[in-house]
Amino acid sequence: MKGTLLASLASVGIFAGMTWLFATRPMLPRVRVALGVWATATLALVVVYFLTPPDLGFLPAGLVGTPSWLDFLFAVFTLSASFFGGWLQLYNLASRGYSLRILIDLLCHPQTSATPEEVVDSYADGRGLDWMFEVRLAGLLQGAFVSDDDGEVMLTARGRTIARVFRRLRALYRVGADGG
Amino acid sequence: MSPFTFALISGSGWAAIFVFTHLALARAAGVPRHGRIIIRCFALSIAGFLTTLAALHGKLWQGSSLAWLLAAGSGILLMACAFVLYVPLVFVISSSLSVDTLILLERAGGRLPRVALYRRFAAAEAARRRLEIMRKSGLLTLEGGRYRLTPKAAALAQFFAEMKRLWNLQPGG
Repeated sequence: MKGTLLASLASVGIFAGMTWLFATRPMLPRVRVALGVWATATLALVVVYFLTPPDLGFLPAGLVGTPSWLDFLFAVFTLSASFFGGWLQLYNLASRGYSLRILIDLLCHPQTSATPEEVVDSYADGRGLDWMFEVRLAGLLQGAFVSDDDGEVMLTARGRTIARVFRRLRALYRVGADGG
Repeated sequence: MSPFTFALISGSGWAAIFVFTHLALARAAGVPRHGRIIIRCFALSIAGFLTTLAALHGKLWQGSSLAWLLAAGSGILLMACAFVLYVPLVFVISSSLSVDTLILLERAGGRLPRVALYRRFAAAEAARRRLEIMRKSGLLTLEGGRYRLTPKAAALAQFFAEMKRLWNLQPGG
């Protein structure tokens, strides 16, 4: 229970740290900032874990998780899961979720509704779907998954590997053209 | 075995059962991103975990009411961690545009004109496909050719609009 309590506090600290840094340092790369906050919080968790007694001075004996090494590992796992599955996902969805952006646009629309043709033009406060795909393509170029050759987009070896992995996963889950 | 150790072992097992059950149902139904299926699989796994805890109390683990609290809380937390790590993966597999792009390129022999990609992913038909997926998920209704937010989707959009403001994010998506 000590590990869980400390990890919960550290996780709240991550959210607070991300919120503060995003507001006060808007020019810094967000994902790198978030990873830095997570690493700092993990380090703080490790230090505090080993500096405090197993019962934190107030936990009843029945709530002390034993063995303590497992409690410690569980604390680090919980904190990492709360970041990678929680805060970082929340950031990803808020910053570049395609469907969510459509929902937000619809919310701002006077009729809270739109046709597909209107979505093409009004997406992301009027930037449009062309802009959205430009951002996606830029991400793929930056990650070296594709290269651009005079108007032709080409898969790199890395991109081909990722494409194969996800094609197999889609077949496994039976989604898309691969899954039927 | 300590209540904590037993809870983590049992919770890990039930988290694995959650993933495999969802995979099996997703394959059967062909709709892995169906939120209701994922939630039901998870709820059933939690019930299975608590049943295991109760059934094996006194046999594989011992403890008082506080030990129960520790075991149940730790196991459910472990399963919640598995849930938040697994669900985004399922969504990436099923609906990531970047993944769509890579797979389309691979199918086309590794290269496509830029304009062909824009025609596939940035046209009205692409928007219609995504709107239909959201309609099937209960986020939109279709009335007279217009897609309208449901109350559930409006609440979701409001929450994320607030998050964008709080985190000082660009309008983009």
